[in-house]
Amino acid sequence: MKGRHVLLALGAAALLAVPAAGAGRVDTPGVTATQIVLGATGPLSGSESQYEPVLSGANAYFNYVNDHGGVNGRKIVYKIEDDQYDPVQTVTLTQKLVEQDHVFALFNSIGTEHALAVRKYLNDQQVPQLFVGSGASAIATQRAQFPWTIGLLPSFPGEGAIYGRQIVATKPNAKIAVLYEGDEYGNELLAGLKRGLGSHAGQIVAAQSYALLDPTVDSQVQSLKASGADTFVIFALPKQAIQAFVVAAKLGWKPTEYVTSVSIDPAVMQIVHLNAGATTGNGATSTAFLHDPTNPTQKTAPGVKLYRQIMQRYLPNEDWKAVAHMYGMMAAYAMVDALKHAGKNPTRASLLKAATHLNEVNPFLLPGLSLTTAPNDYYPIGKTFLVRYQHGFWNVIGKPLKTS
Amino acid sequence: MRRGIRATIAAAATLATLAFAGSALAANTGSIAVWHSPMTLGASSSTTIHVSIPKSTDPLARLAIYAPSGYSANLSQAPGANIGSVTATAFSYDTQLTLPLEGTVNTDSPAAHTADACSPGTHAAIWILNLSVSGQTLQVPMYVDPTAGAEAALGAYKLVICLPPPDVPAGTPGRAAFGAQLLDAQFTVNGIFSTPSGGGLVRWESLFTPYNPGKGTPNAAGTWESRAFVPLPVSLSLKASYTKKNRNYSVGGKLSEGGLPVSGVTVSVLSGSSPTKLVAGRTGTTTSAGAWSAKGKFGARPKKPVYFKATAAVKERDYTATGCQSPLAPTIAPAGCLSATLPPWTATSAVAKIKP
Repeated sequence: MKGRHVLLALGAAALLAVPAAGAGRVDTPGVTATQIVLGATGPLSGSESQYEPVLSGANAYFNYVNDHGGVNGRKIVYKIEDDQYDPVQTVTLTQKLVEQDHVFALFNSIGTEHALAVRKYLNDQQVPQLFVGSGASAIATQRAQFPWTIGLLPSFPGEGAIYGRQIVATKPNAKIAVLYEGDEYGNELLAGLKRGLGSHAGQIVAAQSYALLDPTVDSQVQSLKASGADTFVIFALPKQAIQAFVVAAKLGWKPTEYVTSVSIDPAVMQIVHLNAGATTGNGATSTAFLHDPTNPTQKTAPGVKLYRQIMQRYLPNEDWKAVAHMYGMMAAYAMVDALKHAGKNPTRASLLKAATHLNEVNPFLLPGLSLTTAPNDYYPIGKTFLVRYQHGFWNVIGKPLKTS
Repeated sequence: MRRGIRATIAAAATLATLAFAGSALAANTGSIAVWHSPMTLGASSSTTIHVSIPKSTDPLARLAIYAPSGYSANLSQAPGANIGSVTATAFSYDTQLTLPLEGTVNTDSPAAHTADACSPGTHAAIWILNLSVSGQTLQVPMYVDPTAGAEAALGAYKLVICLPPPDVPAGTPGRAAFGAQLLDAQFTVNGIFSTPSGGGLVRWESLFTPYNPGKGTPNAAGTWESRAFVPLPVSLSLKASYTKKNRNYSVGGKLSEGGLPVSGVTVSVLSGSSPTKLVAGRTGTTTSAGAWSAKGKFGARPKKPVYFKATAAVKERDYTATGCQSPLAPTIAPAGCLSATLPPWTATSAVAKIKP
């Protein structure tokens, strides 16, 4: 059955490639003799503008590439529209990018719900929707139906499963409490955790969800502590993750802590320490696939050096410590790689073909990880590392682990 | 019984009224400290300004800082130039968390800020404080001008900053990002100010205007004065002597700030066979006259010269009792002079040498 899906996917990709072959030289939208226009939507303002560096980091990398000759002689123009993290606006602005700005492809748009809101439209238009900032399984597994849409983050269920296996391996009798976001993101991590725990899944003694608009997670953490759990798994975005660490500490609860990888920006623990003491969060476990520019053990890595160079040149007044900038550059590196392999006269079909045949060592990823895709593999980052917070940084432990 | 209930209700109502009025009646306070590196006379230096406001104080709407006469300022940097750095903490009403902020200080084009509500008009310089947390950057303009007219009595240059209200309902236009209330900020600008040529305790004036709590309107009647005294110069002298006969050595000197003795400060003495390779050794404590001394004995008669250097450091100090005497007129600071400080500094002596 799985093989049949693969064949169908391969067939679909081939069909998509045929009509476009050789047809894009003159009138491929967004491609001229001198430039390639890409588009994106994301929260440049509003309550979720913390993700803005994902876009500005990518743009900075494009500027760096442009100053080094561009891609096959063409400069990349990156048009970013502010959707204020509102999927309704995402739809309108994506249509504008496609129909008025005539972008070649959508790249690095932010938000799972937002990506899903425009996925059908973009696939109907056969506009590549590349490297969406999501690890939702819907994006990777529905590739036969939506072949023009590719995610970038490691699989959410895969990440959850890693924590489950780690708990079984290190604390088999753990009593586990879970705080999770009450949407697809949190639900997939929780499902993955249960999968990783396997026969130990019954050791989840309490699980509390929160809604994005909840002002705090105080009541949820109080309830989780009351369960008697000795292991606390936090599947939350940075704001709620910080609140969870802080509330747990103020309640005097000292469980073994796990936190999802989207919440390990250096600022998270900095804020935690400012509000709950310098030792709070020490020993917590997460996963990481990106370099941390603040970690002294990584400062000589070529990717970190390049990152600092680009930040200094193109974003001198922005926060170089924010890992979201690094993420944006990592995504942009993959995009440039795909554009290069799309040929001297790229078409949307040749870009999709290139994007589904990536095999790169991306300098912004931790050593030992690669970014690979195939027509039957829409999870570009298939492995990640466990990391532990010690001595003020998230430090890599062990070997890369599969997430998909 | 009924009477008891009435009394309880009345008491509760009174308490509620008091509680409601509590924030408006809260005793506001805040302080400012200023220092340079180096703390010398007539030198172009880095200047650090430290503003501290307790969370219990009504949120800050406007702050005007006056650099005293005797200072000169180079305000000719091109727009976009990096002139320093800033760190701050702020309490976020939205997250109920204290946030760390940090970033650069850059110049901006005055032409881009002529219509700013905080301080309309063309300014001599605009400095942008880039306050970042987790990749989000708040840009806060500071308006810099030479003073003129009656304001010249407060200082030679004026630095003005306005902050948006944090404690109004979310969604209110102009509300502070994150609902952030500034608690503490320290910013340093390099090569802008040159210190005066005359010494003493040089007074930087500042005027803090809070918001009316929960309303988002400045409370001009609540404006208070805070003073930062900068002692110039800071001096640590060192003399060393050696008695060959018994191999005893003696070091000592005087510590002063702004020409006044500094008492009760530990002076650390470093020594070694090279003026660039000194290690910590003896310590002394300054007397009320600022004098200090330390003695020691060499284990063996030194064959080469021995070099000494002394260092001393003090923290930021409260100077309100003395420094707030003769406050500004109530028309300028209706809430009076609420704080005065002396700054932190580190003094290092010249190197002294004894011959074997």
